[in-house]
Amino acid sequence: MKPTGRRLAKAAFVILALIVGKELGSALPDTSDALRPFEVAGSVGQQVKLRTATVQVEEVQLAPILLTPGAGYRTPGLWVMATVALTPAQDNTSLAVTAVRSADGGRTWEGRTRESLNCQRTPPGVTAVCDLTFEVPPDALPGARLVLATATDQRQDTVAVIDLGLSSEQVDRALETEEPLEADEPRVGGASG
Amino acid sequence: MHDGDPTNGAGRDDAGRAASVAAPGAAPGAAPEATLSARAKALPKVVPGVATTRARTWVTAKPLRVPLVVAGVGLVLSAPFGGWRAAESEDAVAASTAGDVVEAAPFEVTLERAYYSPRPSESFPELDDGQQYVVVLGTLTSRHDTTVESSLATEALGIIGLPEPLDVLGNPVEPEARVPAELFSAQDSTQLRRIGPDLTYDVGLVYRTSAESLPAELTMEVSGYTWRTEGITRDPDWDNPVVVAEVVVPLAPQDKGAGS
Repeated sequence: MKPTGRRLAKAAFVILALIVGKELGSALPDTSDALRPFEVAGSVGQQVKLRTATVQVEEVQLAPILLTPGAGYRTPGLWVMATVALTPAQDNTSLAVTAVRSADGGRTWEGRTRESLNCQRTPPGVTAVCDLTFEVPPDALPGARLVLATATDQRQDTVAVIDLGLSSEQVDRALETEEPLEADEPRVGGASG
Repeated sequence: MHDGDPTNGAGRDDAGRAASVAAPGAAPGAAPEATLSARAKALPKVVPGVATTRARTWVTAKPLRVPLVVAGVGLVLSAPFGGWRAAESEDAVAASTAGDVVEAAPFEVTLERAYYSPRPSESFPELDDGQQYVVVLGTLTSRHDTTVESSLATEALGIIGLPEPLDVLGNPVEPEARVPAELFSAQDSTQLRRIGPDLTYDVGLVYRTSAESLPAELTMEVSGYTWRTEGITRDPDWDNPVVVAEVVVPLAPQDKGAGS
C-alpha cells in the first residue's frame, strides 16, 4: 500500500473507532441506570412494604375545589386527595417524596405547596395518617399512580408505586361535582382530626 | 580571497533553508551566474513518488505558515457546518402583542393587562402609605415533565419601566437590579410555589411600587431557558435564560366593579 493510502487507512480506523465507541456508550446502561430505585407496586387498600416503612393508601378522592385548614384552592385541573397511612420501621422516618405519575410514566405532579407534604414523624411501629393533595390534568388521571418515598435520595432505595384505580368515568363525575374536598390535619394512629 | 565552496560550508539552517551562499571574502563584482547556480543547488529537491510535495514544502518553509494554514483550512471546512452563518443580532427580540401566547421553555405564557391598587383584595397585606401594588394578569403553563418551582417563572418574566419599584419588604430596588415578583393564582388568590405540567393557570404577577404616578403601559420581558447538564454536579436543569419576547401590556387603575 502506498504511504498516502496507509495514512488514509489509519485515519479511517480512528474515525471508525470513535463512532463505535460513541454508539456503545449510548447503547449500554450508564451509572444512573444502575442506581435507579426499586419500585414496589401496590394498589389502594394494600399495604406496601418499603425498606424504612410500610405505606397504605386508604382512600382516593377527586374534586375541583380543595379546602384545607389554612386556605381554599381552585385548580385548572382536578384535585386528587390520597389518604395515606405510614408506619415507620425505623426512627426519624416520614414521607419525603410524593407525586402522582401518569399512566405512561412521562409526567409527574407534586404538591402545589410544601404543606402538601405535611405528614407527622412517629416512632417505629406507630402509624401516621395524612391527606396528600395534588392537582393533575383530568386526562392524565385514568391509570395514574401515586409515588411515595421516605428519602429524597432514592438511588437504590425502595419506592412505592400505587395504582390509584381511577377510571375515565370517575374523572368525568368528579369534574361535575360541586362538593369540595376537605383535607384534615395530619393525625396519629389512624384517628381523624 | 575566497575559498572554492560557494556556500562557504554554511549548509542549511533548521528550516531547511539554504544558508547564505554569499561567499565570504568574495570579491565584490563576483560573477552572478555562480551565485545563482549555487542558490539553485541549495534548493530542496522534489523527488517524484516521495511524500514531500511542493505545498508541504512551502507550508513548512517558515514557522508561522503552519498555524496560519491550519486556521485557514479550519475556516473553510466550517462553512458546511454553519461557521460562515451571520451572527444573530442581540437586538433581535420579538415583540409580542398582549394576549398572544409566548413560548419560552419550559413555559407558555400570555400577558394580558395590568392594574394598580393600594390593596386589590383582603388577601393582599396592607402596604405603607404611598405604596401600591401593580398586578400583571395572564396565563402560565409549564410543559416540563415534572413539577417546577415558581421561581423559575418569576425569574423568566421581567418588568421594564416600573417607576420606584420595591421589594417584598418594602425597600427600594436598585436601578439595575431585577424587580422581584410574587406569583399568585388568580383563581383563588393563593401563592403559586410550584407549577405542575400541562396545567394552565390564570396568574397574577404582583409587584410593589412607591410611585404616585404610573405609566399607561408596562413592558414585560419573557425569557426562555435551556435544559442542560450542570457542569459540576452533572444534574440536568433549566438554565441560561435568554429573552425571547417583549410584551407591552396596558396599565390602568383596578376596576373594583369588575374585580381584579
